[in-house]
Amino acid sequence: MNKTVTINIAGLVFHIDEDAFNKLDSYINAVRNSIQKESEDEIISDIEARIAELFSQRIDPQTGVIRMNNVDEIIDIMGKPEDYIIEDEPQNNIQFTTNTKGYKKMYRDSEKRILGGVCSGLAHYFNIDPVWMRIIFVLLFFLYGVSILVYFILWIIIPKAVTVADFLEMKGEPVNISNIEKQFREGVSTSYQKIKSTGNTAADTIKKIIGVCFVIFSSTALFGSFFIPVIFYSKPMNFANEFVNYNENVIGIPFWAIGLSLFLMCAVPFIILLLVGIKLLNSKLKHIGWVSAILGFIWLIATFIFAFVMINIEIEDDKIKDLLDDNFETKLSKTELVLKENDTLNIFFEKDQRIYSINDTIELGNKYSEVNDIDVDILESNTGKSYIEIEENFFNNNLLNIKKLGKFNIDIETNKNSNTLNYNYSIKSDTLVLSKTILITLNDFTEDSKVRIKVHITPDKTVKINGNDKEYFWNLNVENGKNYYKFNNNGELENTNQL
Amino acid sequence: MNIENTKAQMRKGILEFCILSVLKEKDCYTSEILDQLKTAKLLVVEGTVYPLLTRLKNDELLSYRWEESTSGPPRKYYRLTEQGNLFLNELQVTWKELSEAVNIITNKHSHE
Repeated sequence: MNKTVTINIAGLVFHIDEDAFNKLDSYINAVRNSIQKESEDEIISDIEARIAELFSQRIDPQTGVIRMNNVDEIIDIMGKPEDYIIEDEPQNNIQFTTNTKGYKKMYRDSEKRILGGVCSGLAHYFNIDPVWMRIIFVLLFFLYGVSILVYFILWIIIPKAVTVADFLEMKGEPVNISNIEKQFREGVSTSYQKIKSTGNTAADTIKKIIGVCFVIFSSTALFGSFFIPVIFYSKPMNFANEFVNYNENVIGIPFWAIGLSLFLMCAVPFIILLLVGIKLLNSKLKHIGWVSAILGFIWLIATFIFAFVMINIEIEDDKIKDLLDDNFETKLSKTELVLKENDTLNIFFEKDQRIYSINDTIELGNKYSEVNDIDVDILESNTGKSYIEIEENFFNNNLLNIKKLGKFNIDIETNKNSNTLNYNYSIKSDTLVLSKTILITLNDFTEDSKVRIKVHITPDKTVKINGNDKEYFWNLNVENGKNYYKFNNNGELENTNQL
Repeated sequence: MNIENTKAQMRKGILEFCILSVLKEKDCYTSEILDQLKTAKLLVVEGTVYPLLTRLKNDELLSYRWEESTSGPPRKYYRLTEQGNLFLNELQVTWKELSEAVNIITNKHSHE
């Protein structure tokens, strides 16, 4: 039994036995190697025209098939590849040293390969056993895995030996018809036959493993991606912040489109990864490239939409913050500290007691929050009296310019209690109790609330800082365990650590 | 020294001259040129002729045209150009001188 292939030579169609075709193909390749490169195609087409002519004279009238003996006959008529060399063209003689020794080229040996045939190819080039080459690569692997990178680079840049001529060049044997025939007789380097029987080589196994990993990973991630729009729609308010509602008219993109683009942004890369995984498992799958390109384009659009929305939301958010900056009110209070001579002022920090009662009475806990932007400074008093100054900076929604905010879709809950809940402190003779936090109503913007406390004391007084709350003294060098501080003659506050 | 090789070299040297001479008579397509050369036993294998024809054409000594054929692929008909004609005339002179020289030498040796 013999397989027949259909070929087209110089516009004529022939049926030719497969082995005869292989030989003819190798012959033409060998001839191509021995003729001048510039007019190669023209000469080859002339030769092919002649071959077609000779074939049409010789074709078996009964079967209509070209057989091996026909090809042999034609090669006898046409001559060996070296017969095509014109002697006075030196460039070919250098390249093609038919009569003496072969010109060696580096190819990947796809026949004796384990992965890509790089090692066996290199082994052919350096004329050593491929095993040594593989040992070198395995040893190099332990050197920071250098060999993996080197291997893949070589895999890419070294061409694969495909034709019989390639195999001969790889082994450094002259490419002439007698060698090609020898190759065929030995039945070794027929890459055509190779195609038919793709063995389960290590490369295929690795491909399959990577493919399975890709498929599992990407399908899991894809499954997860489906929850993104669900989460997104369940809490649309948290999209930017608690104030800015999504306003389709301002941004110009419907709300569902953001959810969709967010989903696509997450899902598309995994879809592509999934396709690559499937392709690795089943190499016959087609059009992966096209589908991926289209998906990539969709991904770009989705990313663009999402980025566009986010940038606009951010711009809107900033504008609102600017407007709200005008709504901070400053309250100043000044209280005299009544202290005896050489007395000590005790400073305590306490958690605001009201927080417990408030949390009990208010259902939505997040309407009240604690802010600890508190700075305590101890200064020398020049007036001869000790006093405390407290400066509160808090958000006052009574000042809110609703007109200005009108074009934004802002939702601020006005709370009547908001102004009553300010900084809490108490003074009882020589004891100053400061709250550790500022209790504020509302949310985001009001977190810019702050308290600045200035304790002015006369030089004869000592300040005792109780507890380890040095973080409230930004400008003073207060250390844990050193509680007593007094102003010295130079007007500097220094640690005395005594009664 | 390979005798076959030497023979092939000698043939190749005069092949160009012969191709031009064939085409001087009339325009021929490739197979016709090959037939004439083979009949004259100048040619053993056809291979050499194709690169040679292309080179002569590239040197503008020959030009060609395509003609449809009923029995096979279209045929490439070569013809001698003006330049080719001049070139051939020069070669003919050289050949004449050479063959006379060779005759004299070979005859002298064979008479000895």
